[in-house]
Amino acid sequence: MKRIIFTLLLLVSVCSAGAWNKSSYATIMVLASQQLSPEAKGVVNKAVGSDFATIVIADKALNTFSVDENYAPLRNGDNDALVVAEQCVERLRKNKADGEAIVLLAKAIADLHSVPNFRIKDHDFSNNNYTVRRWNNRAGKLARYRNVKWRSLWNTVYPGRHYLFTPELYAYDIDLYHSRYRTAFIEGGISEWAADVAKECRAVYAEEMGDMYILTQERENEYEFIHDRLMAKAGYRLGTLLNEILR
Amino acid sequence: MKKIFIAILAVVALCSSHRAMAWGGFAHSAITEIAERNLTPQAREKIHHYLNHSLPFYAIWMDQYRYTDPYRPSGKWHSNWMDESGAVDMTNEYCAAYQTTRIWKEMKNYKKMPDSVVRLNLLYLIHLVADMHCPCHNVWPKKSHPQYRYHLTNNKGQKQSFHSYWDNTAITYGRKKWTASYYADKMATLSEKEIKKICKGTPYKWAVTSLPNAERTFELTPKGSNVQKYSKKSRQEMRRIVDEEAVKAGYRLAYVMNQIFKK
Repeated sequence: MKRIIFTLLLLVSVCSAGAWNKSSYATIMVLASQQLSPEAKGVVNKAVGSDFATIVIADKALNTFSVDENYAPLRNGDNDALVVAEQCVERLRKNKADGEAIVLLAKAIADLHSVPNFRIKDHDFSNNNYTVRRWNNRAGKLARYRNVKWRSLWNTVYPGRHYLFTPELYAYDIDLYHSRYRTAFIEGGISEWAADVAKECRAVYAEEMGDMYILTQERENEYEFIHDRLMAKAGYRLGTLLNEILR
Repeated sequence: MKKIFIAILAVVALCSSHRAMAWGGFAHSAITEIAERNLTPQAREKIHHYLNHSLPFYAIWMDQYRYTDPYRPSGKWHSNWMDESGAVDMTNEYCAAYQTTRIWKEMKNYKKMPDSVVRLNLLYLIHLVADMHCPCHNVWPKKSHPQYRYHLTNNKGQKQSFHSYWDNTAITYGRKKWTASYYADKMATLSEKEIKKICKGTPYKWAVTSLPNAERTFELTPKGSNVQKYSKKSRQEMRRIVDEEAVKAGYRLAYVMNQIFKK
């Protein structure tokens, strides 16, 4: 009986393990695909054996991104998103036709840009999937709280606001808003992008949060901007990186 | 064995995604997708300029900000309010039809307004035109009219509030994999002539002509009703009501936007 419960609990953690959800990964892939040069697109599609934009990224086995208390990357082990991304880049520089490295790179770059994937050394909230209480901003009998896990807020609630969108439509909208910042977003390389993500996450984790943290509507809506911006950055940067490596 | 079954059910429940919305994120998204497809190129360009997004992106913005300062007063605008005689009350500032009319009139001078105000008005219109058409978004005075605050049994055999049923389940049941695009493809198929006919009039008239469908919902789902036991004919009628109102809302939203930005 105990073994069964343990396995079931593992299933739960796997179910909610995704940095982004399937639809968000797909949106990032569409955004990235739109950035690819014809040459890079040809190489990528040949290497993965299908249209790059339609590759399904598994939303399990997430890559975390760990930093120290000063938000400097720790490069913490084999499933650190930054480490995986750098390894994949090395593989692709040696062999452009390495389809597996392309897919792993896509996942790593996407996961690098995910707030719930961000781990700060000795920071309780970022290291545990705490519950937040989404408050409807009303008082007394009209006050309502909906509990959600921190990770689910980012990979379910925010995409859920556009859950009828196809990845193409979502990518179109994200691009409509963020395309004017694209040049600034893609400046630098992986290390600079990691530092930029750390800066974004600093804004989120600066707040004193603990288990059952009460999230006001204002804060919830602010975080949505960060969610969308990081999605745009992930897509643009992945496309730019592939263009650079595969030219 | 029973314990294992319960444990499995708990896992499935924990794994299911969390979606809780108003006239439905589904309906709002679908309505705005219909509207987006029926915008003139000029209107689309202007809307994208002010919003930096498409209409569907902001389909439920008003719901997300309804109790956030300084938008808090708009929290009460989501329904049509009736007077004692049961008519749409256009003197009540909480009434969705009143606010739609007011904002539409204000937006005739959009070129003289700050961008932020135009943007805010667009965000309101996107949601209000949709909510105006929701069959259960009508508020009657408590003293003189019955209040439809009761529960019924829905298609899945679950107890659900009347409001929640008509906001969500009536339009979403059996459509789990539908996207907004798919809904628009299937439903928004009216001819030019039919669209023109639908868009005639004012928000007040649109609210008034939606009332028969609203009243029909009370007849179809009285207190304690069990939708599971309904005939196919009744269920088809329920689906017809919500789809009819959603499609009308979509075309009318496009019409309002096209009229505002025709110059």
